[in-house]
Amino acid sequence: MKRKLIHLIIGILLVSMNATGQDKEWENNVIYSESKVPFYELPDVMMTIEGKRVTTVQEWEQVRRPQIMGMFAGLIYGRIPEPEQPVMQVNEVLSVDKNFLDGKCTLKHLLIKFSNHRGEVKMHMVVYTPNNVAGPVPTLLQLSFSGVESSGDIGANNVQSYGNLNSGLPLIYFLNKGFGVAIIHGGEVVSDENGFGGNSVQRLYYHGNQSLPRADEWGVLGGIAWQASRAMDYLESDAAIDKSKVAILGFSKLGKSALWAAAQDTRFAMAFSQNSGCGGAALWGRIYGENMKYTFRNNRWLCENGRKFVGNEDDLSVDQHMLLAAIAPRPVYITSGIDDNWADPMGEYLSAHFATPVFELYGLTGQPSPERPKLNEPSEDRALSYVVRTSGHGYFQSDWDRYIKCMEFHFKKQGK
Amino acid sequence: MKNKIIRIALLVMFLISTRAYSQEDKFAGALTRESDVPNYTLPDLLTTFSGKKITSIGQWEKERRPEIVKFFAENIYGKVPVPAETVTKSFKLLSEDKNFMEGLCTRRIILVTFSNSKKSLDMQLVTFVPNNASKPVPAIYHVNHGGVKGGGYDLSNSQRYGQVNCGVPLRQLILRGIGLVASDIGELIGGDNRAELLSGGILDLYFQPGQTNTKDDEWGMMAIWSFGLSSGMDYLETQKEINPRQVALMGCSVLGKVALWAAAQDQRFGMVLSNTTGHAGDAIWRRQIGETYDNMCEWLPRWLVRNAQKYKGRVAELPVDQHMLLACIAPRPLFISSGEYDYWADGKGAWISANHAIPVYKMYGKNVAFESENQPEVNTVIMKSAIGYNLRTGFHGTDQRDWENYMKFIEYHFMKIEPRDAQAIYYPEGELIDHYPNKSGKAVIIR
Repeated sequence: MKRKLIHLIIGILLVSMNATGQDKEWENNVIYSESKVPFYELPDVMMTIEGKRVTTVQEWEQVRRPQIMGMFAGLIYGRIPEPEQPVMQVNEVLSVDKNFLDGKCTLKHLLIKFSNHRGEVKMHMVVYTPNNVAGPVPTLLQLSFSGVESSGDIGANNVQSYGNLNSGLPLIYFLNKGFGVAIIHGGEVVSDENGFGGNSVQRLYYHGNQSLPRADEWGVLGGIAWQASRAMDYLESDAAIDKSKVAILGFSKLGKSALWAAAQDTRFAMAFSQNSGCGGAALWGRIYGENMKYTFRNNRWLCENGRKFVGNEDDLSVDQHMLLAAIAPRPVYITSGIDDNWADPMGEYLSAHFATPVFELYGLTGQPSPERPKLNEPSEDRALSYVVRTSGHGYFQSDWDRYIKCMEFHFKKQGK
Repeated sequence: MKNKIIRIALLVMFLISTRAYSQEDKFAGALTRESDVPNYTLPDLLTTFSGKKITSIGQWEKERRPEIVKFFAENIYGKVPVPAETVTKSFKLLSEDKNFMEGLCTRRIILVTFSNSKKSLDMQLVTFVPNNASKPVPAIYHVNHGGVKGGGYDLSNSQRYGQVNCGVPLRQLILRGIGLVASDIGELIGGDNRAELLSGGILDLYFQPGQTNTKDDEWGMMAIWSFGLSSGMDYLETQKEINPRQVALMGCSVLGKVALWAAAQDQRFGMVLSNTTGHAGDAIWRRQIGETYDNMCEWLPRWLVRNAQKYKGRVAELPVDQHMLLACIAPRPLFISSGEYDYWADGKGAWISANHAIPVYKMYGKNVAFESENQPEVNTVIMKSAIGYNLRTGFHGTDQRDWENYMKFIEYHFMKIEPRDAQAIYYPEGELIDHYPNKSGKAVIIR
C-alpha cells in the first residue's frame, strides 16, 4: 500500500515535471527567429524524380502527383497496409434529434464500428444538417479534439452563446448559410499514440505477429486521416449531405491530419488548416518552432521512416508545400496565427507560396507573392487561400467566419 | 422510518444545493426575440427623482449624477460602509522584473494589504510597463478575480507568444505603448464563492462590532470587487510609470459589470471597455431579454445588494436603468462589445442603453457617432466616438478582435493618434519583424 502511494507520488511528480519541462524545452534550443533559419533548399514540386519538368495537368496528375503521394506515404505519414482480412464498417445510429436547436437542424449521433478477425475499433460521429434547406447541403467535416462520444459533448450552448456547440464550433453560423456540420473526435481510433494498443485501428491491419506499424506504415496522423475518410464513407451515404461539397477542417495536430486526409482522399472537396504547423502546412526545411525532432520525440505521429530525417531535414525529397499542391485543384485555406511561433506561421505561408505553381497549372490562383499578406488580410476567393491573423494557437470566431465565407464562395461558384 | 427522514432530508439538501449551481435552470425560459420585449418606458436621464429638469453640466454633476450613483449604491450594487475602525491600505513591492518579455517591459507584483485591528487581508496586483516609454503610459486595468496569484499573468508558451496565460495580448499592448494592470479582487471575498450570502474577506474589516451580516444597503459582490479596483487605483496614484488618469477598466461578463460600476463611482478611472457585460452592466433591465432583474435576484442574490430584492418582480418601478449607469461614466470614453448570439447579455439592450446615455455625453460636448436607434450591422466598429461600439459575430466572452478594438480606442482617446492596425505594430514602418528569408541572405532556391 505504502509502496503504491510512493509510486503514485513519484508518478505525479514526473508528470508535473514533464508538463513544465515541455514548456521550457519549447523555449530553448528552438528556432523562433527568421535570422536563425538555416539555409535550405526545397524540392521542386514541378520536377519529376526523373528530372523532367511538369508542364501539363496530365503530367502532374499522372506522373508527379503520384510520386509525391508515394514519398509522403513512404517517408512522412506512412501508408495504410492491406489488412489480412477486410475491415468491416457498420454505421449504427445512436440517436436522431430532428428538432435540435429549436428545430433549426437535425442531429444524428452515430457509432461507427470497424472490425475484422483481429478485433473491433469504435468511432463516434455527429452530423448536424439544417432543416429549412431543400436538398443535400454542403458540409464541413471537423476533426475535433473534443469528444463526440456522449450526448453532452454534442449539445449546443445556452443563451449566452446560442447555437455554439459545447465543443466550440459555432454551428448557428453554418446553419444560417445552409451548411451542415459533421464532427468526429480526431484520434478516437488511435487512442494509444505509441503502442497502438486499445482502441487503435492500426492493429486491425497487422500481419502475422506484427506488434507495431512497420517503418513505412501509418502512425497517429495517418490513423486520424483514415478516420476522416471513414467519416466521408458515412457522409456519402447520407442523403442530407451533398457529398461533392464536403470540406475538411482540423486544428493543430488535427490540421496536419486534415491536410493529409484531403491529399489522399479526393472526395474531400476543400481543406482547411488551422494552425497546423510542422507536419501540416509548415515547411520541414526551415526547422522553425516544432520541427522534426519534436514531432518524433514522444510519440509516433509519423511513420518510423521519417525518424531518419531528424536533424537531417536537408535529406528530405519532399516538403509540405508538396502536400498542399497534392490537394489542388481543390481549394485549400491555411490559417496562421502571428503569435503561434511553435507552428511557424511564416513557414505555413511559404509552403502555400511554393505550392502555387501547381494551382496555377490548373488555371487557379494561389499565393504568387513572395511577401506574406498583411495581418488579418484574408483572401477567401483564391483556390489556395492564406491568412495570418493576430493572436496565437486556437480557434477564434473570425477564423470560422472566414471558413464559412470560403465555403460560400467556392461551393456557390461551383453551382448546384 | 428514521432512515427515510434522513433520506428525504438529504434529498432536500441536495435539491437546495443544486438549485444554485444548475446553469440550465437559470437559463431556462429566457426570452430571446425582439417581439418578446414588453412595452417599457425608461426613466428620464435628465429629470431628477424629484422631477427637476437637468439642463446644465453643473446640475448634472451636483444633483443628478450623485443621486443616481447613490441609488445604484444603495439599491443595486451596495455601498461601501464606514467601518468602525479605519481600514488602512499599504502597498509593498513583492517582485520586479525589468527584463520581462525579452526586455520589452517591466513587471511588478505589488501586495496590497488592507488592515485594522480585526485582521489584515492581502490582494496581489500586477503592473506591466513598456521599458522604452519616455512619459507615463496609458494602461488597461484587466478585471480578473485571481489571475495574479494563479499564474494568469505569466507569459504563455510559444504557441501564444507574447500573451499572458489568461489571454491578454501583452506584447501587442506593450508594442503600442500601453501598460497592463490586474489585481486579484477575488481575494476580497471569503467563504464559498457560490454561497448565497457574502461573508468573510474584506467584510470582516468593515463590520461594526457584533455585525455578522451585510446590511440591506451595503456590499454586494460587485461592490466588493469594485472596491478592489478602486484600491488598485489608490496604488496606481502612488507610482509614476502609468498615468493614473489614463487607466481603462476592461472586464468581460460579470467582471465587466464590476468595471462599469467601479468607473461610475470612482471618476479616477479614465475609460471603460465593457465586454459582453449584459444586465447590471450595459444592458437595459426593462427589455427583459436574456438575463432579467428577477432572474439575477433569484439565482445570483449575492452579486447584488440585499435591497435589490425589493424590486424583484417590479423592475418597471425601478427609478433607474442601466443607461443611467453608463451616463455616470460620461464624459469618459466607453467602448461596448457585444456578441451576436449572446442573448443572455442582450446586445441590443446594450446599444439602446448607450444610445440613451448620449445626452449627457453631448452636454459635455463629446461626440458620439451613433446614427440611429438601430444597431449597426454585425462586425461594424464605431471607433472615433466618445462611446465606441462593436456588435461582432460570435458569443459571450472576449474575442481577439475585442482586444484590438480596445487598444485602438486607447490610441484614439488617450494617445491622440490615428488608431493603428495590428499590421503597423507587428511590421513597424513597413519593415517586417518577420521577413522573407531571401532578404536575410538565407536564400530559398528551388532546385
